Amino acid sequence: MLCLHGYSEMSDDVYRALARASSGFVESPAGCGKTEAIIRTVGDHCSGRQLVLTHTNAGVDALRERFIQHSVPTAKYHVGTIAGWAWGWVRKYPDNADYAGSTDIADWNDVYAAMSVLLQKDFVKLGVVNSYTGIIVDEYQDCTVAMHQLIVQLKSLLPCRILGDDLQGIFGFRADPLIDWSVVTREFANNLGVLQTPHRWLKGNNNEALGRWLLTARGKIRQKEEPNYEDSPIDRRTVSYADLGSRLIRLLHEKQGRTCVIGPKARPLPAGIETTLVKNNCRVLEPNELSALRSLILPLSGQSPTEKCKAACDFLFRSYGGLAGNDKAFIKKILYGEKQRPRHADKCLLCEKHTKGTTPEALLDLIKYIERMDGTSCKLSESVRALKCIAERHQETGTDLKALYADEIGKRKHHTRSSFYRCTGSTLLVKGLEFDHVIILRDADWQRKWGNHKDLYVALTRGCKTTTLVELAM
Amino acid sequence: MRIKHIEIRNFRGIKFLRWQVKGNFSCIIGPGDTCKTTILAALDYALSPRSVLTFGDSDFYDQDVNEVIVIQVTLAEWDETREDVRHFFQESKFAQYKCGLGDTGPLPEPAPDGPVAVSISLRVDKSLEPRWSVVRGRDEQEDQDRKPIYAADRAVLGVSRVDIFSDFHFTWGRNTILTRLSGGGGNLNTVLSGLTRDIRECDISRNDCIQECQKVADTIKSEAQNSGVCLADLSPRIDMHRQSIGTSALSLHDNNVPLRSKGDGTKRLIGAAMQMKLNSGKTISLIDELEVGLEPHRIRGLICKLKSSNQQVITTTHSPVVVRELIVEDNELYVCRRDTAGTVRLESLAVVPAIQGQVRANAEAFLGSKIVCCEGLTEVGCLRAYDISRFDKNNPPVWSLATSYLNCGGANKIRSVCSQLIDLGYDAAVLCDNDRPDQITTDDIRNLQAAGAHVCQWDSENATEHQLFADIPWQDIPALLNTICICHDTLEFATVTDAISKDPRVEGLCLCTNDPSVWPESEPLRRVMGDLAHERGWMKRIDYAEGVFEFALKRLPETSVIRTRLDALFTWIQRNER
Repeated sequence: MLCLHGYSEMSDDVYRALARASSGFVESPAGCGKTEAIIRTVGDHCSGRQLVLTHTNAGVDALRERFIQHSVPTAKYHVGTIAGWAWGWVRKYPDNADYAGSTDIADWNDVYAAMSVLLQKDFVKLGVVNSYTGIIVDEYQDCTVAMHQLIVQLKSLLPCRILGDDLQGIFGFRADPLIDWSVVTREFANNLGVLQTPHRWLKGNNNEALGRWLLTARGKIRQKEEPNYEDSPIDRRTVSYADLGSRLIRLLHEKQGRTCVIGPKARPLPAGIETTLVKNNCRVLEPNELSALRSLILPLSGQSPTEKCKAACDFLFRSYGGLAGNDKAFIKKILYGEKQRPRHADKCLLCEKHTKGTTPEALLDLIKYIERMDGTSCKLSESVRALKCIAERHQETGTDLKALYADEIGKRKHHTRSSFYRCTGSTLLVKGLEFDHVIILRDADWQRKWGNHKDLYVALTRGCKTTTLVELAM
Repeated sequence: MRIKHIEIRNFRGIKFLRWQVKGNFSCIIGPGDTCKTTILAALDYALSPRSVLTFGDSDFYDQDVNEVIVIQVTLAEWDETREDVRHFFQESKFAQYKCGLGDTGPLPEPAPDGPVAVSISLRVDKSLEPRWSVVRGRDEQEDQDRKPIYAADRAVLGVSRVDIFSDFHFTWGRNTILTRLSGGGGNLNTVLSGLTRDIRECDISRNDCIQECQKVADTIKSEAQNSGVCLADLSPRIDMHRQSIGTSALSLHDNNVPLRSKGDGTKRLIGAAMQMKLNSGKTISLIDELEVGLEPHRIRGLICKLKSSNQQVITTTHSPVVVRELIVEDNELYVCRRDTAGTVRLESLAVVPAIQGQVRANAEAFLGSKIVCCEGLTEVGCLRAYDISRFDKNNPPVWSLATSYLNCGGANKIRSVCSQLIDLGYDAAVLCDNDRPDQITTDDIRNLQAAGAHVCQWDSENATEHQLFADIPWQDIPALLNTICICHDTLEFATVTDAISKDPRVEGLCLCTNDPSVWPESEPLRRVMGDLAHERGWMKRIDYAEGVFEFALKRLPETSVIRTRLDALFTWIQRNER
């Protein structure tokens, strides 16, 4: 076993190389001290101020927190998202940037190209060169092609170093693909070293064996194959769907510490399972832009009545678990403005009050009604809370719902994602987060329905004490 | 940095001003109360690194505190290799507040291939709290995109006022030129507080007066004891508050004399020299009344030094010496005008083509608000004499009404010069004779009148000399001829009378003698005398003409052409008084 001292010396070489290079990349598996490398490089080895860019606000918060922990003076760094940094310039100079979109709410698809245009202007180049002595980009595997082009342009102005792990590149969508890692390594040319001390698992009484096994598993994952779990520290179980709820609860209660249940990449867990988890104090992680709320607000401020009703039903049934069939039917009729004669006094009142189908007022009253019912649980508590706030402000001020939504999301930007004791979320949502225990819930034909090998790697590397892989029986 | 554009709203006498500054040396001229000094004060307030600035209701135009004071100054042409400028234009400071600059002022964004500028705005509302910010584009609304700029950052602009307020700059007080030259003053405060402590500690008890004080102290001690307060030792000691000696107590001395006690001129020169040392000379100096306290040769020296330095200078003047030194073509002279609604207009004299010669020759003329364009030297002399004659009658002399005479140097130039002066905002009148219809036509005269000029012209075919000999009572002719000779350097009375009597045109008049007192009155003789005086230039110098008219004006009948037309001109001068 390598002693820690030896590791740290090796890492120091990487930090020094990072600080000195005018262009280069560092590859780092999950949990191997990428953030630490940035903090130490900037704090100990760089002179002047570095522009440190990453992708998510959570990432920015994490970096900023660590800089403060290490007492690195703020004059030495500026941390931001690539999007936020580019937007800061583009919204000031839309004409120079050939940016035609709104300057209030960013048109993200155009912002990076617009910033590339701006960076051809001397006054912008000077502004960047005056402000920084170098640029460090974290999580580079998440860069889209447009972002990559922007960073390459910056590289011609200032020393530009990047860190990333191609195995964690799980963002990217069909219309906006991620940059290919081989293009990245060609562009940045200098391999400044590899970080391979599994710091996350060496700390305290974490699971060192798990850390080491994850390093060895990378080979198979890179070849898009399942890692070899034999003699591994991964706890593998196969569970039938019927048993899943009770088994999950038992597992959850066995684990001492922060625990996360990780589901598929792009869709929620089965509604019943999710409800069970929520009833056992498990919070459902939601993306920053509260996508469930977004798919309600857009139709709600639109013209089509049927879309409004459908979106409202979808939102309420997605947000609340434990609704019985007749409750759902009742809610649906109110939202669609259909007549009904319920016996219950509560329901009668609602029927009399709301005859116009889906309105923000009806939604607010229905939420109150659902929350008074026994046996229901709120799964998307953040979306519901935001909706209440938006609907109440809309009632009082008459402000446009979309504007209120944008405002609400803007405010959330600077909130660090709260850490929950127990939570559940997709691989996209847990990326960059760290838990004591992780329970991965995977479909049998996972490559087709659940996510790819990179999603699996991201999921496997989230827990620092134990990782449990629960596979649903066919 | 260079000031490129200024907009002022509701500040003191200025309701509105928009000025595009073109050169590196801009001298503002114009009559009193056109807010020249206010413009300099506005620039100083907006740009210099002062942190404390007290405003009162009287700083608002017409004391109307509901209209916000806005002073917005747009600068460009900075040296972005300089460390402090680079620091100023970082993302965390003002990199994202660079703006564009067009003909009408600042633009929110630089135009393609257009200049890159930065615009600083000082706003004061009825709270009287000054707020400085950097704005992209014209500062139109309180809530537009702006970023506060503090005194320390404004120091980068390198603006100092180097005039009557310059005494403070000879100290190491806050943000003075000396402090900036010393890199912020360093540990001066420590040294001075140390000194203060030393003063407190020093023994003064042996001084006679202090011993008197000690006796009082002793009495109080015993009285206090009687009242039950026991004091150990009561004595007079110096009580220095720490603030009582600030860094401004440290000032430049010439031997034992503080520089502030020096003459105005000397201080001005030293102040300007110190300012040139700031920011390696790339600074902006604001100098009110450049000439104050300086002899002509020192004025020329200072202007030469200022122009050859790297800095931008904005100054005002009332001195023809200064005006003569400036190059109109380089936009060094700006004419300032203010209308009754408080709109102030600054226009470069360069809009008048080929006026440099006039500026050199008649610098005084451009310092007033009204200019009488005279055809030649004789007319200027005539007006000067008229002035004196009015003064004799307890009327205000023309010059006190901010009017000057300009010698246009010939009838053919009057029309263009006069109309250009009107364009610049001067009130112009024309004084010309009427013997050369080929040089100034009746159409020309009509056009000038239409443009607002007052025209004073003699009768047809008359030069000034003709009109004089036509108008003067016959019995005064001998004395007039005599006066012409007295005023003239070389002309003899005999030569004059000889020339007249021997002129072939008077042959039929039987003058017989050279004694004008016995010549019979006749129109042709008056005409001949006028001709000779005109052709031979008997009065063609300002002092010649002045002397002759000083004599003649007293004798000309009130109904004569000269008197009535000059009186009308004088009425115009008075009527137009601001």
